[in-house]
Amino acid sequence: MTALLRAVFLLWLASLAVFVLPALLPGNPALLALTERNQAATPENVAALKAEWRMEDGLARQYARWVTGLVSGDWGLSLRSGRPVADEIGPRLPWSIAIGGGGILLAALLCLPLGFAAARRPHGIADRLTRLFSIAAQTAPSFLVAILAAWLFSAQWRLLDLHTGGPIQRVALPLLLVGIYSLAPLTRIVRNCFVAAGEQAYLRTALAKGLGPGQALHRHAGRPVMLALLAALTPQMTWIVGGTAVVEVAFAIPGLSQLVIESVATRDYSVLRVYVMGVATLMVVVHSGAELIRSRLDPRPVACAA
Amino acid sequence: MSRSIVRLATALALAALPASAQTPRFTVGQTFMAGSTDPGEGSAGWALASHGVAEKLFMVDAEGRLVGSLAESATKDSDGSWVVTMKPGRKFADGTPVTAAEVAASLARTNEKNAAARASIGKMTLEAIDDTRLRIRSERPTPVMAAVLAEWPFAVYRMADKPVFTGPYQIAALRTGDGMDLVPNPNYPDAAQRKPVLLKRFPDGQTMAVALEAGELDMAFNLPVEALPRLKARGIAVKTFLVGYQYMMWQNTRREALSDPRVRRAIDLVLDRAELATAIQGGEPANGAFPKGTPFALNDPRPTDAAAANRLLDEAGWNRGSDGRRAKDGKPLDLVVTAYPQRPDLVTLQPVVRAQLSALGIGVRTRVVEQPGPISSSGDFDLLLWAVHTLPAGDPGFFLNGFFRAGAGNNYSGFSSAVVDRLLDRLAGIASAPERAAVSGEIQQEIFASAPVSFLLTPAWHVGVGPKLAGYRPWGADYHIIRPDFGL
Repeated sequence: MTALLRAVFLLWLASLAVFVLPALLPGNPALLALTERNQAATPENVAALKAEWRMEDGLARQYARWVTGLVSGDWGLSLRSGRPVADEIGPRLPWSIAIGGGGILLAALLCLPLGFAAARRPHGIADRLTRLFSIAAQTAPSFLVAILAAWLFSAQWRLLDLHTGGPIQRVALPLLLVGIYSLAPLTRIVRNCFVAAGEQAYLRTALAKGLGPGQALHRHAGRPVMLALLAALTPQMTWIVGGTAVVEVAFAIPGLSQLVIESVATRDYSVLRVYVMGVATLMVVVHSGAELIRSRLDPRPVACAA
Repeated sequence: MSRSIVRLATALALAALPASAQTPRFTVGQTFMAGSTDPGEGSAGWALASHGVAEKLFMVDAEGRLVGSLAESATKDSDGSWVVTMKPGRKFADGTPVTAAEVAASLARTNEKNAAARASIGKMTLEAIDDTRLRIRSERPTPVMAAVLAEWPFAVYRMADKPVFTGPYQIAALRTGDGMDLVPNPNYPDAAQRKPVLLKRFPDGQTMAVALEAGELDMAFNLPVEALPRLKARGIAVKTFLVGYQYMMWQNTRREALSDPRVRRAIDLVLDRAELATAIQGGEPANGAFPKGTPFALNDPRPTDAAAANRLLDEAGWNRGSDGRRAKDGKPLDLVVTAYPQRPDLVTLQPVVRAQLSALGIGVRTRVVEQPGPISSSGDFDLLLWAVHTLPAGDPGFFLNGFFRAGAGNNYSGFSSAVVDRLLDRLAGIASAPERAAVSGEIQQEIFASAPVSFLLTPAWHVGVGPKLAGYRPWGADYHIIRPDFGL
């Protein structure tokens, strides 16, 4: 119950920030919208547009109207296109979910065998390779790697129709890149957790009973590793939002990031507010959910996450 | 061998392709796409005509001539109204005939909804005389109704549950922000010979160049100049052509320093347009408001004379100090050159313009704004680099009236000249093309004398084409990219 109240309180704070902050951006959305509509930016036209958008009401009334609409599913109209915000976001959402969600899922699935392999023989080949992989992922800028990958797979090797192919062709490589960038830190965390578990007394007991190191880790270290992975995945979701944006731009994917870029340029507060609120909700849900699962599984703090 | 195996494995793994990927079609890359199918909204009419979906009553052809599209003629009646006669036998994409009543309804709707459709002649009243003839009255008179009806807002459509157009293609699917599938309009002549077109929108030209390089596109329209050597090295044909857009620099006459015509003329005189053309690796120095090769272009190049420019500034009281910078009454001559990123060439031109003006002793800073509209409308600039199609309907009246008449909507420089206004009034009463060319020439000379704007360049654009569209011939702009002869 406390967690739920805290989540609601956080979302309320986020909604306040989301409502007020875009309005502090320099640039007048009315002027930009008039340009888009081929109308002269006369004071009369600006006033008419502000009345149409009901911007002349007090800020409190505007906020109340916006929050009510947000909760009831009426997200308003895009200031740029005049179309419902839901219609602007709807067709783009599957692309972003496929890349971001698919990437983190891929990373979560692959980090376990890779981290396990690295932990079985610290300083062995698998351990060195995953360390190298982790360092490479942390040092190579994602935008550069994405552009290079797009050029290599598309123009140079002609393996994929990245821009005009079917959805699978278009999503495969961006998803893989997002996954790889998330995989690197997760693998090291899993590896460290397995190593830390290997030093515990119960593992030594398992070894004394005749189990091999791999068997012992596999059978007895799974729970702390899963808890550590859960803890590591939570902040990784924050990176996913930014990382997905980078690859969407590099691969010309018509996802949410392109819409956000256009909306920032045209000061489309309606779209920006819904987008930021959506990201804030995702974060609150992910953090609250992860905390809930952790507390149910094992209330003790995780000690092995690097 | 190993590459073949990888390709085979990839093909098998990615077998879940949409059927459209297997269909013979043309794939065209562009950096813009209609966001709406309603010509009443924004610039949708322009984009839809460019995509080959919509047509107007009149249009400007490849040679810059005003010709009939859905209409045969427009004649002025004795009462000052215009009678437009349409071509017989034309149909909308749903098979219904194009009647005068349908045309009148669509143009009246657009004129009501879209401010751009009122720019030249204000509010229109339209009535069908019979099935093929249409009478038009306008709030403001025009001697060239055909040219007005060739302006981009005036797409003809029939309003069913959504607009239905008459062009050679119709929209089968519109994917917001991504692309659209075009299929031949079965009610357009030679429909059976046309292939479907996938129109793919790219957020930037570089990504589009990669897609062309990868063989994913049959055509990429308006490629960035930096990508050209790479494409040519791979044997991809690139067609370069001068466009109807003109690059110019507005001088804000409301600014204190620029309110003196001598200062503005000095700035105009010091500009080396050949150097500017070199900077963007394409295009030609502009002789005036209209591109070379059009009936309204001027023959004499704009002069570059640094000595005369220096003399003008001296006369205006802006004298050089010991540091070489000019000042007047202790106030330095500092100006800001503004550009916007939607036309990357303009940003490229900024440092070159700064260097040329600095040589004159002017302190120059550069600024890039996110969007051009608010800056031009508010007048919050000193010098504003700008790109605009000056002959969108094949007639100079649209540009000259809209940008130079005192108080006009696009008069960004705040220019006001009784002489120019009188000449514009005269232009409004002339129907013959040679006479209109002569008067527009006079107007341009007056503009040169006052220099509220410096015409800089006629830019060149670049279109990359694959073997399937090797015969594609770009027209002088992006108004008609996909046309009835596309791919035939």
